[in-house]
Amino acid sequence: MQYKKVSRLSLFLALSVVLGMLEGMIPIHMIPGVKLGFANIPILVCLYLYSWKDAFYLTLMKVFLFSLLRTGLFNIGFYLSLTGSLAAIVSLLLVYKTPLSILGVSMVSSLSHSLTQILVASILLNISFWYYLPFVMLGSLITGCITGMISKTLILKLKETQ
Amino acid sequence: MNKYDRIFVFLVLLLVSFFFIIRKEEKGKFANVYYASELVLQIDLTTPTKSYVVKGELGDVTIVAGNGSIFVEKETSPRHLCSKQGKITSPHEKIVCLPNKIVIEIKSDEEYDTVLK
Repeated sequence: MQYKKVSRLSLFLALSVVLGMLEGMIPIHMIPGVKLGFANIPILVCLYLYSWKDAFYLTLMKVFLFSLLRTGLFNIGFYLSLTGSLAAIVSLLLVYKTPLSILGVSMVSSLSHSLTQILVASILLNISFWYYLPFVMLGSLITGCITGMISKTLILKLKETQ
Repeated sequence: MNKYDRIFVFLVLLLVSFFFIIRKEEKGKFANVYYASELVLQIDLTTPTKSYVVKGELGDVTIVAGNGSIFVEKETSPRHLCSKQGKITSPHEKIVCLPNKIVIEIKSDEEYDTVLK
């Protein structure tokens, strides 16, 4: 049982990093700062299948691995990614016990992820926070809904096989 | 999607529309015109419309500004991209004429939008 869990968690981690990279290749850049957020699907699935601790560690490791492979550690991109992901996971932990369904939970985490990111970006890079806010909120609602739907079907499938 | 999700979405959409309404009121107070990254002209946008002439790389650039908006009327360049762009009004828009090395940006009073240089 334990082996199965460990291998599944490492698979989630790998998936999350790879999905993050793949989504960087999809040229949807209508709004700067809004991306699909597929990297969060494994984290959501992990949260619902296992415990919040696993999801939390998964997030941290994902950020470190992803930065190591793509942008490099301890630069602006890394801090943006770290703060965004931490905000997302904290908000996930706060709301996943509430009556919101997985779609709502996904939207909440997507919102807090992008809001924290533009907040940090506006502090670090001196760009205007209020100008981006409505676009980013709208964008993350939509992407949060998409990732929520994908996670929902994934969780149902995985629960069947368990 | 259950009832609570819909309530959440509704609340967020309400916030979004609220921010959109606020954003509209933001208006530029003055415009900076740069030639080769150097500030050559500063135009007060609260005055009535007037035209200005700035020297560009390929010749004179005629800029018409006033009443909160600014646009390039005439310029010498291969594709006339900046005069085709038309009026800009918001502090987040820019007119860039690369062949002439001219950049026009609108500034509001607040200095938070002095983006990366």
